[in-house]
Amino acid sequence: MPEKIDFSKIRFLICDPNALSLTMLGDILSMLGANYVRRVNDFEKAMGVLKEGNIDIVITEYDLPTEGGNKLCDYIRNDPASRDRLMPIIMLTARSEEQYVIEARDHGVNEFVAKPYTVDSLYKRLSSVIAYPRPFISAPGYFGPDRRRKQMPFNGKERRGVDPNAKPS
Amino acid sequence: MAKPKVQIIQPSLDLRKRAVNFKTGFGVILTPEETVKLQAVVEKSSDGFVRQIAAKLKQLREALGALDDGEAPHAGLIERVASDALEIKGLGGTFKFPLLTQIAKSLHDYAGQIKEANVWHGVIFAHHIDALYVVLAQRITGLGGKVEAELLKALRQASTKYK
Repeated sequence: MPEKIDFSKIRFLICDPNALSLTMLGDILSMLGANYVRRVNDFEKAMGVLKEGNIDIVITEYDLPTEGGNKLCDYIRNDPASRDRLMPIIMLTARSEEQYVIEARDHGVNEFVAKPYTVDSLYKRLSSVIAYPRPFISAPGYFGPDRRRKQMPFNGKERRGVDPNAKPS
Repeated sequence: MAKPKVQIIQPSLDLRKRAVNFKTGFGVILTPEETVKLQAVVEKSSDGFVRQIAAKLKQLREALGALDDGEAPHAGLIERVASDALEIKGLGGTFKFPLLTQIAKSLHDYAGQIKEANVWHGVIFAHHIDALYVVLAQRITGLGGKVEAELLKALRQASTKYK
């Protein structure tokens, strides 16, 4: 039997300065069954909602007056007052160029969706953060989801003390 | 000196435990029927999109029309053009107007690279805005045909020529 996601169990914060985008995203989430969706159009209001708590997933624009979506990510991931540093963040933005993707990734977003988007592409990202969450990395200068997406073959010299592929004796 | 400490933290499974089940909700992978349901939400917003973008384009055209002969667009107007173009770029394709997205991208890129404004910048803005309006008014969904491809090419060439 295939797995399902009951969106009524998840609380969303959606941030977008464009009223139509915000309404449409809210309507999509409602259609999915979400009944707790906080909608805000700027950074200050988003911060207010986050400080109240009761949010499970944030979906934000990059261009969020007055501070921007990345600053919101910084607060969630790095501020001592953050209620949940592991909270999934999806950046949904018209800034689709590579530099913005890299910037958002380095600020700790889990998923990046470029506008214009299809409902299918948005859903895949939503489904991924809920059903298949990635591990987090805490390193000097970075706290966020593991940025490595692929297992790449390594052809260099093995420098670790133990063979990682060795079977335990 | 000690190596900086890197820690791998196992993902929180709280949301998964709370929401993933075998009975209620949408499939982890959408079925075609579920996709149609969600697509209907987008289509419901389509009229609002056309109205909102048409109003924006009209206002931009008026603002450009208010410039005196030979007057270059001022910084505030350039910023507004760039911001509105980005918005249209982001929404067009979702509402099945990918051509609108492409023209808006051309306009956004053009407005974003202006260092010192001159009268030609206003002219190129106006051509882009007119083209966006026509696509919207004629409800040209998809990428259009040969004429639309030529139009886009011409706008890009003009943008390169009058930087």
